Amino acid sequence: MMREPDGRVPGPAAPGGERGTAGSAAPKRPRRGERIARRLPDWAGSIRFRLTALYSLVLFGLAAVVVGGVYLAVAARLHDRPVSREFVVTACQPRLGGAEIECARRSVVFESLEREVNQRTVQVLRTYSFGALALLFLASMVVGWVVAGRVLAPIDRIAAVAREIQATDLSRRIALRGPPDELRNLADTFDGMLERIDDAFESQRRFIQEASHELRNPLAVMRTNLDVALADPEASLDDVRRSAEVAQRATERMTHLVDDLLAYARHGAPERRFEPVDLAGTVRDAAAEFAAPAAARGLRLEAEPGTDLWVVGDRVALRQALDNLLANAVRLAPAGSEVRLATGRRDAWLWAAVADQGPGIPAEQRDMVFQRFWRADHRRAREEGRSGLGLAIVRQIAESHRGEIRLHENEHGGSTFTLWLPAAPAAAASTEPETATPAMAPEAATAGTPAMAPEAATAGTPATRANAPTAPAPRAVAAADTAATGVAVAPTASPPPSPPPPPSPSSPDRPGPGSSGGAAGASGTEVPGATD
Amino acid sequence: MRLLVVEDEVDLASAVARGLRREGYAVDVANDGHEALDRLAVTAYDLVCLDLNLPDVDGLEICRRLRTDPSYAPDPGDAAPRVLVLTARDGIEHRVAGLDEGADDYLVKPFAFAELAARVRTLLRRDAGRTGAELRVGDLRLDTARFEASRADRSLDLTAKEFALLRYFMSHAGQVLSQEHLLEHVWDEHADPFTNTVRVTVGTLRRKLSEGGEPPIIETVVGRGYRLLEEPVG
Repeated sequence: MMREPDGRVPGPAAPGGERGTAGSAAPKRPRRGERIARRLPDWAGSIRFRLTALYSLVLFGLAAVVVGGVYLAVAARLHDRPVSREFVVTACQPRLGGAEIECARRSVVFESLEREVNQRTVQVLRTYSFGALALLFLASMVVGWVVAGRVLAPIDRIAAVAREIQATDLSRRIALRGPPDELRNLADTFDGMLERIDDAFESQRRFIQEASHELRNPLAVMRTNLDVALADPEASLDDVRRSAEVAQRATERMTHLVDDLLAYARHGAPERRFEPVDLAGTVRDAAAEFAAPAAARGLRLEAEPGTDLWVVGDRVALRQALDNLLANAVRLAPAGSEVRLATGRRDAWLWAAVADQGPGIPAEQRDMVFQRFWRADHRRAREEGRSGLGLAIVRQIAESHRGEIRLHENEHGGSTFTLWLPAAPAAAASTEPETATPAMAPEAATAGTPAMAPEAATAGTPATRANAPTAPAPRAVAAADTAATGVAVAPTASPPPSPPPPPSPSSPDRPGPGSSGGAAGASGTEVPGATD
Repeated sequence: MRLLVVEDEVDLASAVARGLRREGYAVDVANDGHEALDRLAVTAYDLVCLDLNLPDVDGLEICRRLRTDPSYAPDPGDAAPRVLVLTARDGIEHRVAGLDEGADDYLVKPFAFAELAARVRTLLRRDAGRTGAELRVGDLRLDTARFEASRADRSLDLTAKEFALLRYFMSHAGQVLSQEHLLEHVWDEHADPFTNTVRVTVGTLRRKLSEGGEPPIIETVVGRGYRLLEEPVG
């Protein structure tokens, strides 16, 4: 039952390209031990049996050496020096019919007798030795079997629980009791993994439930309207037209919602390409796109894109984050006010901020705005066909870039949303031309697990690694005084927000991309030297 | 029967109201929780279609208050309104919570309007302890699902309002129903309480019920209102 081949069987997903040399050298056939193990019956393949057999054999071998040594020593001593070789024996015999005894002196050689005795002694010793060895072997097998069974029992328990746990019931835990030994450690590790999987499933389940809930409302609007209109034999053309219009509105709403749900799901998924992105250029593009809608609402849109701000990230996602923030500001800001978009750098962090002059978000709601499906005004959101996912998407994008989105009130009563992103390593940015192409993306982008990409990119560059631990949290920075234009942008505000817990780009002891577990492990096992 | 539709989706509320009105009910609409509570405090509804996900007050809270708050207690002689929960929350735990808070039935969006109408019929006839879609009083028969009424096998040709009035009489056979009571339960908020619309409709209904020469079955109790006789006066 424990005869699974280890991780060496090549999976179909293993990309061939960079591993060609390793693949040709390593034989793909199972090792000899495995082939033997496959031919054995199941019980003989168990660790319990193997441990028992191993211990018994070792014990048997040691005992055999000891007993053999004793035997040889005894045998040699007995044969070495016979105590005597010759005796004079007086043999007397009574004569028949008389009191006279006839005695004769004879000399007898005792050597053969003594040898006889010696041989018999050695033979007895041998017999007992073999007997003792056999008994010892049997006893050690039995004791070994029992002890190994006791020691390995928790493993069976772990396996049984793991087998019973289905994806639908991840609440079970192994919860192994006992001393904090290796097996307890294994069980605890397993429990920890279950915890994380459970959390992931739970959050996914919640998301699906929320999403279906959100989709049910427009569906109900459509269905009921169509039902009522179609069931009415005397419905006028106007009635039908009204129902069609309602259905159209509901469809638009659903389209928005599905688009945003897809965007949300996409940003939650790890499969994205990271490349050096010029944050300044992205900000410039976003500002250009929102110039017209802002003007239409009588807003001034001021952009300070800055220069030379490189992040390693997903160009489209970063643009979407900025767009969502700008769209909110442009939609909600009072007419005649100003919306500012600015960027900056602080140590190893870059920020892009969108500030408006109203209407602001009440303090008690500031923690909620980034939640999925949160809307300040449900009815208005519905009429405008908004999904309530915009800021949740921004947060997700920030987090997938190992950055953070923060919100605080500015002195104009408006809101300032600040997107913090770790700066790209200097090397990546400087070697990149103005337009980065995916082909030139840093090695991180091709590193098998896209989720690790940004981490790998920063961890792999000595410059960042040196900076990271000392980089202070990007707390409130006194940005250029914006009194002239009136809107304080981004990280000025008082009171300073509590220092964001910036996800540290890399910790010194973080394992390299090759040796990391999880998804990377499967493809990493055969890379030569990857496990060094 | 007077119904209140509590639903913050305006398009959905109006469609539900339209469909239920065509079924012969008097329907009012409330688009948020406070409006719903205001209306429930003033009017004795027979049934409330309640959305749980309202922007201001949680639907369950409305349900709870309706069942426990004395200011929403029905007048003596009136039954407490039935509550049919309409919601997008489809989890078992939500259904259980809704029913435990005093909802009588639970319908998950999106629903077929025909099912909503059937559940409304079911809930309303529970009042009278009947089980089928057909009401019978004396020789009167009323099929609430097919909108057919007959007296002594003679089919009656009734308008929607007359049908609704007859259904209300048959659901409360033998009880004296005042004009105000009928106005509250058979007409919606748009009826003008100062017209004699109740008297006129009762008059035409009586005429149609006796067109085949049958004895009168709705009697006037002077100073108190009308009563549908369980057995027609010979």
